[in-house]
Amino acid sequence: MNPALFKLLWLSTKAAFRRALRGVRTVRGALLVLFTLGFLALMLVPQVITAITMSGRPEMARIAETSELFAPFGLLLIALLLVFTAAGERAIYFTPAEVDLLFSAPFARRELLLYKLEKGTLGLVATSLFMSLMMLNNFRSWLSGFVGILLSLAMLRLLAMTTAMAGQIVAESLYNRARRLLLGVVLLLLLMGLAQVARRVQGGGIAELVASVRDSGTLQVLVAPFRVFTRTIFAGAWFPDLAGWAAASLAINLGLLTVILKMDANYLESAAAISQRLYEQLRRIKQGGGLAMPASSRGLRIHLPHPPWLGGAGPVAWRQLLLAIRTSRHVFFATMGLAVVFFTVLVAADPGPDSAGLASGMGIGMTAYLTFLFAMQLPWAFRGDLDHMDVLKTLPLHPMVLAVGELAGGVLLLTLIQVVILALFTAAAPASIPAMLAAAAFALPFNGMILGLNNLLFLIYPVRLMTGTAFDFQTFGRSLLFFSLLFLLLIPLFGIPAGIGGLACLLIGFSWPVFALTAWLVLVAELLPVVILVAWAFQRFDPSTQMPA
Amino acid sequence: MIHVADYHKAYGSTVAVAGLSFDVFAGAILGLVGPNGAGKTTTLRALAGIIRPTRGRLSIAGHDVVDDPIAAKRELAYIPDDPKLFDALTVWEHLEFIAAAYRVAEFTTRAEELLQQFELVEKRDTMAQELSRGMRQKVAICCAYLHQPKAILFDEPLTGLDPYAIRTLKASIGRRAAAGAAVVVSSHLLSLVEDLCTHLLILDKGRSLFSGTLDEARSRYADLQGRASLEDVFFRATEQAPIS
Repeated sequence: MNPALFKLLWLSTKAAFRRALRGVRTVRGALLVLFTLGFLALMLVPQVITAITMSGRPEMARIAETSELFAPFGLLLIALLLVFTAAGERAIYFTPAEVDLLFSAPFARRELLLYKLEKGTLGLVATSLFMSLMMLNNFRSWLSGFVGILLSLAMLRLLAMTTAMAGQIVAESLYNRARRLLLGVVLLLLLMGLAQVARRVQGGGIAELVASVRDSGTLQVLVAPFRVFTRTIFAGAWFPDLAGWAAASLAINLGLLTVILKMDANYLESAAAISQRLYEQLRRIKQGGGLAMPASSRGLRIHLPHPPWLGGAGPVAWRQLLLAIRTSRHVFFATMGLAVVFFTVLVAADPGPDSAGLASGMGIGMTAYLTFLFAMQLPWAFRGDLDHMDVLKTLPLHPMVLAVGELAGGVLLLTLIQVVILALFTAAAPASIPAMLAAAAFALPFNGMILGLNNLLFLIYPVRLMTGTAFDFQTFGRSLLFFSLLFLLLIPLFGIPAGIGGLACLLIGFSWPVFALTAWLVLVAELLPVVILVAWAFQRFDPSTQMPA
Repeated sequence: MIHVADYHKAYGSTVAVAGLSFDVFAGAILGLVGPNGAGKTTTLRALAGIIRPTRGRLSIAGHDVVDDPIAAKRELAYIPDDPKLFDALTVWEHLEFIAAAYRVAEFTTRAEELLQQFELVEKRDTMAQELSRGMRQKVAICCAYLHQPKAILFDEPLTGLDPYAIRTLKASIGRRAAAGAAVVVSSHLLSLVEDLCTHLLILDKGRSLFSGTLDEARSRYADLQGRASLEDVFFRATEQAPIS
């Protein structure tokens, strides 16, 4: 690799450490780092203790055996996603600074690719270390797990890069046709394998399923290349198992690297375009909308009638609603598609007397998850308007009215989607009507509470979604602290309505409608102070000092 | 020094540049003007080797940017309209890296002179992420000048610069050209082009409407009796059918 690129890697690594250390110098920064490290320790220490205390037991051996059987399928799935979706594009993603400063500099394309691979190595090692500790109980030895995961991640990265390079060489239409053909063959083999498994499993448990997968020739052929890597991950002895399989995995990776370098595709233009696209995506994430897409011209066909003035809240809610629909339609369609899939499975499976419980569980679980997902990942309310705070501050509207308008758009849209999903699940199991009606009634105050609290905390403690780099413990810690605070606040805010509902049942006698009605009324009453607090937080928000980086 | 012959660039069925040809000789400053979407940035990015031409030949100091990109890029500096820097690197580290990339042996004195010239001495150890838009632009210009390129491509160079920096930049462009560099300045600021440039290229919808010296551009319109400003020439050229 070019010495100048080595120098850049060295300077960048030094700069990352410098930035991390600079943050630790303040009390707040040090606390955030400690909080992050404590959180990581909480995740990892139990795994390590379990692995040490359970070492040598037969059940641990069985876990490793089952994991080894299914791991190649996991790798196959990830490889398919990388090859057949846009996720693989990241393999040739260069930051905007790299595009501006390196692409017009005298570097060979191969040198830039090697730089790109080298740059990601530290991240791969850190990820492998974390994953190997998190899944310690699944491996026969930690070292095998670590080395195997590292080589597997490197292989996936090289595979994505190989695909991207091939796409540059082969004409686009031919490349897409070849990709579709390959996907068809893989899917056909997968279906054949699954048919073999289905024929053999006749109402048996996990043991029979494991045996069937093991005996299915088609499935085993399909995952054969990935098995080299999983053999490394699950190797028992250092020699010859780990050494042998790791050498084979390394040889595959070197082969892929040689293919990439030999192709020497002219990828700079595509990489610059991908860089621009991903940079825009990152910008949207920073604006609070990781799942949002730029509004397309098709979105312009969507119009909404203007609502009543409502003291000014109407137009604000209208703008929120219109933006949400135009930038997040794909998420809504995907959600509805998923709900239809669940509905079809539920109807086809026909679980008999369990159907009502299953349908209500799935419907309520899915709608509750959507609230958290949409509140965090779509640019709704103040979180999505962070870069427009100056405009909002200059509007001739009372902060309370603004807060209501900002929150109302997202809450109403989300509630509407949830009601449709609940109706769909109710159609699959009509006996679930009472539970679904209650869920539909709770959807509005529940969404209002989550979105309201999210925005309240955001305005007091503005944190952009995770866009930090390696060693950026402050950003990670800030996000972690934000979510911890949110969940801590939710405990009393949902606990009080449930408690008062229970109290009402104690006084009147137990009845679900009494419990639900009381809890609903208290939850709705709680919304008012939350909205007032959001308005107060908006009023005190100072864009000149509180705007996060 | 900069040679473009029959340059075409198409994205699917959309033609961004069609059959563009021009030369910029050593010491000349070419003003590249045109409405939005005319193909100015596409042309500069192709000259910088970032995007491939669909057809045609582009070369820098005799090196073809497609066949011999490294040799071409060694003689070139490209300053995009909104230059992105490495957030966590300091100003000085950017210069250190550029010196290594272009193999500038004794860069320290030259780098310090550039920092002095663009009033960045106090920002020497500041990380790029802490710089204002104008400061980042100045750092990008210092990086571009460090290896003393024979061809310099500016895309909207004045964006974000304060009046002092604008004066410094304009003077520095003049000095670079006088020292033998070929300079291309793409800008919507016609006054900048009029002040600075020796030659003019007017683009519209990917096609050249005029290519020549500023005097030739003025004399193109007899009815303006040689008193035409660049603004008059630009509007006349873009509102009429191609004149050359």
